Amino acid sequence: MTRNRRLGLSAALLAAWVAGSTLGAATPPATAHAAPIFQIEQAHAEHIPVLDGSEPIFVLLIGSDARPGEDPALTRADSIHILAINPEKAKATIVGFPRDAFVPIPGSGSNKINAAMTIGGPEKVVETVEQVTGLTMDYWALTWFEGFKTMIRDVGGLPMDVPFDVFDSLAGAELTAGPQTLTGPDALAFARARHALPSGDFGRSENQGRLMVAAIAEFRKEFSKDPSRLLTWIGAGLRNAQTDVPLDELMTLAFTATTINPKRVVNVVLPGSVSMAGTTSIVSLSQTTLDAISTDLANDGLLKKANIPPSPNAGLLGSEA
Amino acid sequence: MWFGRATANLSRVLTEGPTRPPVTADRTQRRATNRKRRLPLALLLVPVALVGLGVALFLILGGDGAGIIGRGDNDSDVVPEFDFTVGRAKAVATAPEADAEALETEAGNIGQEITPVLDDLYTNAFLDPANWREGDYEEVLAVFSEGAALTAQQSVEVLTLGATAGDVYERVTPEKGSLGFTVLFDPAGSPNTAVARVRFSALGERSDGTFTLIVSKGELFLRDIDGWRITAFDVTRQDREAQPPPSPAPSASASAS
Repeated sequence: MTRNRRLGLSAALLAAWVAGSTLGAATPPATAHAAPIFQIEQAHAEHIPVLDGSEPIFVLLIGSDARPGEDPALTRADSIHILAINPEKAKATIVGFPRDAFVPIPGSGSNKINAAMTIGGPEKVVETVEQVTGLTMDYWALTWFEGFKTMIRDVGGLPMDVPFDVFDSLAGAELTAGPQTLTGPDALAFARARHALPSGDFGRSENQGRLMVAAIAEFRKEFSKDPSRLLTWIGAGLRNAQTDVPLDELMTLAFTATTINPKRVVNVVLPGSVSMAGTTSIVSLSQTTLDAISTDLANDGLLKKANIPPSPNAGLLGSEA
Repeated sequence: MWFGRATANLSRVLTEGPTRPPVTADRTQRRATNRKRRLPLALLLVPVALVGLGVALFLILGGDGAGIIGRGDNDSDVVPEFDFTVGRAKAVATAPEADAEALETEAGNIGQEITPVLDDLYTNAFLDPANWREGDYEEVLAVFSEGAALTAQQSVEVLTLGATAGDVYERVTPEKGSLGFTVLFDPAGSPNTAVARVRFSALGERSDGTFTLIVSKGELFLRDIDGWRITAFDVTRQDREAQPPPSPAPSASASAS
């Protein structure tokens, strides 16, 4: 499969990333003039044009810190995740970058990774991540506060089992643990909250990954009940995000996303240690872990168990972590 | 045609009568003798012709409109007329500032454009006796894109009346069909993909005299690739045994197309 052909897992996953609910209403079966006595048989046939092959597909998902009036593509990228998909195994991996990760930015020395977008837009973030990991991103997708909230609204909300209480007044989060359908503002608050988390931005990055997994799960569920919801999710994603995925490829990616079992999506955050660069607080990524994860992803998009770092929210998750 | 030809023959018999021999000597006597002989013959031929005509009409038309001679060569080979009832068409925009109203109108137009394709598809798949008697659904498969055609071919028992339907059914008549559309537009406002939600049912009269309600429902993804083609599908067949229709003539609404 060529790079071109693999275009865009982003929007499908952007769609997934985005979120949403509202199950399609089932249409009652057609009634006939002749009253049925009993059912003779039921048979089903389907064809969905999914990508295949074991070569992984990489999508860089970026969340901009842009506020109203700011250009999302030229503001800090406070949320950066690699989404790696293995179409053959219908599995995926989400790898989050701490926004303060201090890395070389091509052509601009070293800086926090979130600064890359202010230097050269999403393409510079892609370039930076590619240099740090050695991986080649196939696509990127970018959203921002308002876009994210609207996306969630447009798909009808995002059902998610919130793993622990999240109360963070600075992020506007007031969420108690348990299954619930997140509204756009709820989902954004959950994605932004870090002050309530002991691991701060590491835990927040993992929660952002949780939202993506929840979106994949909901997208898949809705598609199985009403395939036309695929169009709704794609529309919601594209209206509220920027991406380099052409629409035709996005359709294929979206179909492919419906095959991914959310329980088989591994969600991790690159570990690192907090230190100082001059007067600035930064994160130094664990090079050993970064190398191991990058190698695994390059191989098949999936992480070996031994290379899965512990959850930054382990203390909040208890035995779940 | 059969009826018209028979009536014409009868009319000729009644008006022309039998062929007469040439008149010879003693013509008056012979004429009288012949007349005496011919009169009973004419009286005999007319009732015989009438009875023959009646038998012919019975064989041709049959008591329920499906005569023995005509069966398989006449109305049961007619393709029943079928048109889906079209419901709402919903537009999905991908551009943030799209004109929602204009796209809704365009989605309706797209739905109208696709409907005849699906009318033909379901007629070919379930209703045309020439197809289901032979198990030949080439016209059906032609509506699927290259990528979907193989799966469609492997799913012929779900997507059509079936390869052996000719052994099972005597007649199939449409019951109900409804369509709803969702159309995805690209950022420039052109249609990219349409999803048709299809509900279709037909009544099949089996060779053993029982009836089956044939029900097909599902979603079809269509794209305009040199005409609207199905690129993805999710279809379920839920056939059920059914009571005979209340009307004795299910073919009454059928007509040649």
